[in-house]
Amino acid sequence: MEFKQIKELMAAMERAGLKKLSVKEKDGFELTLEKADEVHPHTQSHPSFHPVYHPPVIHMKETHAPQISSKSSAEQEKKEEKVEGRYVTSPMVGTFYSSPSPDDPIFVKVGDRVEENTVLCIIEAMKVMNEVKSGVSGVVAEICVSNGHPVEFGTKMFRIV
Amino acid sequence: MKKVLIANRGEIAVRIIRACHDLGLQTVAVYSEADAEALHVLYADEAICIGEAPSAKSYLKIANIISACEITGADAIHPGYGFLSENANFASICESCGLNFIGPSPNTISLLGDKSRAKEIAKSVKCPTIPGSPGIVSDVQEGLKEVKKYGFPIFIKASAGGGGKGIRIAHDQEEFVRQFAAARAEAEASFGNPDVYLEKMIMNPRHIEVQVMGDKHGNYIHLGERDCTIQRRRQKLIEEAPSPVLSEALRKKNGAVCCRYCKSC
Repeated sequence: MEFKQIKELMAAMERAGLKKLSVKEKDGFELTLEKADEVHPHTQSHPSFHPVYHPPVIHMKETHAPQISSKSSAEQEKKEEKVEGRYVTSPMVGTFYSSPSPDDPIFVKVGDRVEENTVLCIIEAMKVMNEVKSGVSGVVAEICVSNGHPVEFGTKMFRIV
Repeated sequence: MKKVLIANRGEIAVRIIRACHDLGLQTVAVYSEADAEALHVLYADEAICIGEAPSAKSYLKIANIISACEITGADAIHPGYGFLSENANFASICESCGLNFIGPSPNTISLLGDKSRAKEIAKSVKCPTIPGSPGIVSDVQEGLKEVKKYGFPIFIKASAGGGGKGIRIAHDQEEFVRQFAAARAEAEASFGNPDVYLEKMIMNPRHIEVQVMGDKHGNYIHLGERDCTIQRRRQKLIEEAPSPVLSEALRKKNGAVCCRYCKSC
C-alpha cells in the first residue's frame, strides 16, 4: 500500500466518523488506524491518527517453498503460465521429507524416471511416516517443496512430465 | 495457551477468531478447498487447507486437523459448534496429543451425549426431570409396562439422538407397539445405537435451555436462559433471551440447578 492510499483511508475515516479501521491485503500487508481518545472535552476536535503497522502475516496457503531448480525466476514465471506435466500434491497435512531417514539418500531427484507406484517422499503426520506414491509415470521435472517443510492438503510437491 | 486452531468455519469461526484476537492469542484457521476464500480464512493469522470440499474429508478429518496443529505450533483447539465439538473421541485425541481442547472433557461429552445416562445423573443430583423410564427400554413388553406409570401420549426417544431427531410419539398401545420397533431401527440407522427410553409427552411446553460455562478449576457459572419454544419439526427457529415466562426467582433456581448438574458431570 502506498502512503497516498493511507492518507485517503485516513480522510475516509474522518468523513465516516470511524474510530478504528483495519485493513488486511491479500499479500499479507496489514494496517490498523486508530484515533486517539480525547482527554479534555474543550480541546480542538482535530483527531490525531496513530498508524499502527503490523508486519506482513504469511498465510500457509500463500507461501511457496523454494523450488529446487537451476532456472532463473523470470523463466520460471513464464513456465508457470504454460505448465507441462502433472503435479503430485499432498494428500494430507504434515511435514515433507525427501528421504526415508536423514541418513538415507533422497527418494527421487530431478530427471529421475518414475512409475505410478514409485515412492516420491514421506509426509509425517501425528508421528506416523506416510509414504506418498507418484500415481503417474514420467520424469521428475521439478521438486516444489524443501525437505522438512510443512505441507497442507493440496500443496504441490512434484511436477512429473 | 498461545495459539488457537479453530476447527470450524463460517460465523462461529469468525467469532472465535475475533475473541482470540481480543485476548492476544494467535489464531489458525482450517479450511476445505471450497472455503479457500472464506472470511474466517482471511481473518485468522494463519490458515491451513485440510482437505476436499465434503466435510467428511476436511472439517471432520481428525488426523488433518491435529497435523495442522503440529505444523503451525498451535497448542489449543476450539471446536466451535457442530462438526467435532461433541465428539468425545476427538476431545480424547486432543488430550493425548497434549493439545488444550477448549470444551468439556471427553468423559463429560460422552456422558451427556447419552440422554438416558444424562437423566440418571440428573436424578442423582436432585435435578428435576420429565417423568419417564429410569433407563433404556430394551423391548416392547417392558415398554408397555413403563407406559402404564406415565400414561399416553408418550415419547419414544433415541438415547443417542439429538437436534430434534430420533423422537416418535405413541398415543395408544397399538401405536406404541408399531412405533417402538420403528424407533429402534431409526436410532440404529441414524446414530449407530438402537437404544431408546420413554418420556411422558408434555403438551404445549416451553423449551428453555440454560448455558453453563465451567473452567478446569471447578468454577461454574450460568449465562442465563434461552427460550427455544418456537420450533419447526422440533428444530429451533429462534432463541429468545431472557425467556418471557421465567420469573426472577425461577431463573435463579434454574441456573443454580443447571450449574450443580454440570459440575457433577
